[in-house]
Amino acid sequence: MFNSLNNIRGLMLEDVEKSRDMLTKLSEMLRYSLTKNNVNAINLEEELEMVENYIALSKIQFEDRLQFLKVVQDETLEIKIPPMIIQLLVENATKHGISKLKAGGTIKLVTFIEGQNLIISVINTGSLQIAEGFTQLGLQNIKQRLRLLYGNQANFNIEEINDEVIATINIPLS
Amino acid sequence: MNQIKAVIVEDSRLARNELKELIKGYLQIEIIGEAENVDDGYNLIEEHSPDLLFLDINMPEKDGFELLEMLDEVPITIFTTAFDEYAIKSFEYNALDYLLKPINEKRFAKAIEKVEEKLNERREVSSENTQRLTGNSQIFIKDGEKCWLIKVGDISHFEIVGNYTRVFFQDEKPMLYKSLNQVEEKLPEKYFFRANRQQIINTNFIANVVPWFNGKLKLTMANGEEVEVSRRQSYLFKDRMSL
Repeated sequence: MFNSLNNIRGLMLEDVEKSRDMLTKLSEMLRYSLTKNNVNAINLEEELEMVENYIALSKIQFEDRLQFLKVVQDETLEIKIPPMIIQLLVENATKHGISKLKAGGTIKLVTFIEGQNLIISVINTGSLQIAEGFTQLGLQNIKQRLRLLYGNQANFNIEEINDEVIATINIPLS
Repeated sequence: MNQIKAVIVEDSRLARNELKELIKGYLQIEIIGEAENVDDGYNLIEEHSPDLLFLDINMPEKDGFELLEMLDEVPITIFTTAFDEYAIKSFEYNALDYLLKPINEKRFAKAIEKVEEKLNERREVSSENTQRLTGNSQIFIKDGEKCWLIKVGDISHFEIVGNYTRVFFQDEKPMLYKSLNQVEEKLPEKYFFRANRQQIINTNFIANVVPWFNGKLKLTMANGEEVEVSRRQSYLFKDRMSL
């Protein structure tokens, strides 16, 4: 957030239009995180808008070091999910994945329906560092929220495969 | 007005631009280079020996603190970061200042004032001193959780451990994160002698010398430890220690 504000200050020196756009995106993100905190469910589509905002703001920080790829099944857009859950995964992928790599990497977001479940995967270049306290805390938080909302019906998994970290959430379609 | 040579190490291009815009108002500061990661920053600093370093903390692969650990001579350092959680740690690294991004212009002006004071102090001191340390110079060593402030003359010897150096004094032997060659350049030549590839000894701590084979010498140190002097260095040693 403070990095974003600082980057926007820098961006103003070269591209005022884009800076204005970034300020709007940052405002939307702030409003979203302030207002959706005590809501249990929102449309996946709405969460995706926030993720796009977050990615746009991260891109002025990382520039060519960050690529974002989205494979979202249309049928998943209307599904209700707990707010901030994809956002947290993407933040995690950025902070603990992309920002640690000199050459940067790619974040992929995939959503689809499989049987009676919604699958959300966030995949980033990098390696899984369990030792990092913050990651653990963020991930524990996700697990806990899923457990409170869906009991044993939902699950969350994070693993490293071929230099990619894959975080997957599996939520039952109610 | 003295010119201040500065380097920026910061991974975000826009943050570098932002910083350069702030610096523009200070004609005495000349930015001689910028780097987007620690390794490039290290090369830049080794090559140009700037007076001042603007240093981000969170960067890919190595962070700002690691850069300071790699450097032999650390420029006056101002940390620039968006987070306040590293403020305390930055003081352990003798940072001159710690600026939060986005940087407040008044705060920035104060930091530059401090830089100038510090540089003036240094200029006065350096005109009095030579580059090398003396036996009375104190050096600061931090190894893990322990710290020492030790007089150079009290060190009995140094020994290579990989890329680093172990320092022996009294009953302590902390690690110094410098190569033995780097250490040698700083030591007073009067007492310190490179006995072989692995060791530098303080000649004041030699208890006994005996001739060894192949024209080499063997020294016994005050603490009983034996040091073999390489052939080439043995000639030098005899030469240096003779009347």
